[in-house]
Amino acid sequence: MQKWILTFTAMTAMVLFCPEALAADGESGGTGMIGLGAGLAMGFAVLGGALGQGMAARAMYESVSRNPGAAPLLNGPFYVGMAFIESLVLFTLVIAYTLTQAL
Amino acid sequence: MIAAGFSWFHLIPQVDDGSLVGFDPSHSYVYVVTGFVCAMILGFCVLGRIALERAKRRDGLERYMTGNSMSFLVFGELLTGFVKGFMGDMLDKEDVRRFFPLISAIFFYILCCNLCAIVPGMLPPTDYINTNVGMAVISFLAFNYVGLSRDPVGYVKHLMGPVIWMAPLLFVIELISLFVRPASLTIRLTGNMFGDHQVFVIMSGMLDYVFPVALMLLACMVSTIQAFIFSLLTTIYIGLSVPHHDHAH
Repeated sequence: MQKWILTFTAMTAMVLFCPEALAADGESGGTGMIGLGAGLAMGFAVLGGALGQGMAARAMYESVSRNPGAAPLLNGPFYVGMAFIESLVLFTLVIAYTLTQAL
Repeated sequence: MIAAGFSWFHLIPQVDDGSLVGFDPSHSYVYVVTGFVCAMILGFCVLGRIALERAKRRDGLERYMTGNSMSFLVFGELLTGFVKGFMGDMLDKEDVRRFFPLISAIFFYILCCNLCAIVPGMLPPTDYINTNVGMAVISFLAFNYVGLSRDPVGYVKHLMGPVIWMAPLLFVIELISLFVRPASLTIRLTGNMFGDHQVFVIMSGMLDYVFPVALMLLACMVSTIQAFIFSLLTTIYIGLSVPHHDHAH
């Protein structure tokens, strides 16, 4: 656990201090950072979204397996819940796309 | 939006370099597609009217019965009953009658627009953000109109929260959440349609005949669900703005 924290901190520090290192050569690290930001944003967003949708699906399957008569009642709310969770991931997609267009 | 794919609008001359409309060509198609969608919906309305006139000439119980087998009209009645069903869960009968035209218009328009994406080479008008902003502004005006026309003092007091000494902070927070509602509606719909179409274009570039089938099935599902979500959320916002007098505020 400590090793993971250390590795993560080191990687973050590397990423954040990259522009200074590149500026020494006269290159701009700015556009690269935009692309990196877009990619990382999508990755983290999909991580959280997938976990959330997995939890919703797990709750649905458990309730239906305990009480099969609840399946027609839970059908609608299941899809509504999934769409809400998915929409949060899609907000990040819009931002990532805007960032990629600004490259 | 068309990244690597083809669309029928490329066949119209002068669209590619923007000299047809004068601005970014990838967005000028949506006006043509929206026209098709409106023509489609108008066609359905005309057919429905003809069916209604024909039904009025029958006598007895035959007057109120629909067809035995699935046809366009019966499918339209199915969707209409569905919209009325979920509206009835949120609003009372008087409000269902009053807002049914708005909610069903939003539902059918978004459904038809989204299903345009499945036709090969067409773009859904809803992947362009301005289409969805228009609908979200209408929904915003609708639920504010309901709240402000029936009980303006109560509506604003509801925004201030339960306790008077937290009112300034809570008012700002509630106002922000009020404006976030149409924003989230648009971005949800735009993101879903745009992302879906992009994934479709990129994946079918990878593996030509296997992925498009599965992705088109997914697109059917997502289109219907997103149309339902938009209209359901508008109904929920209207239901929240209707003054309820038995509130423990």
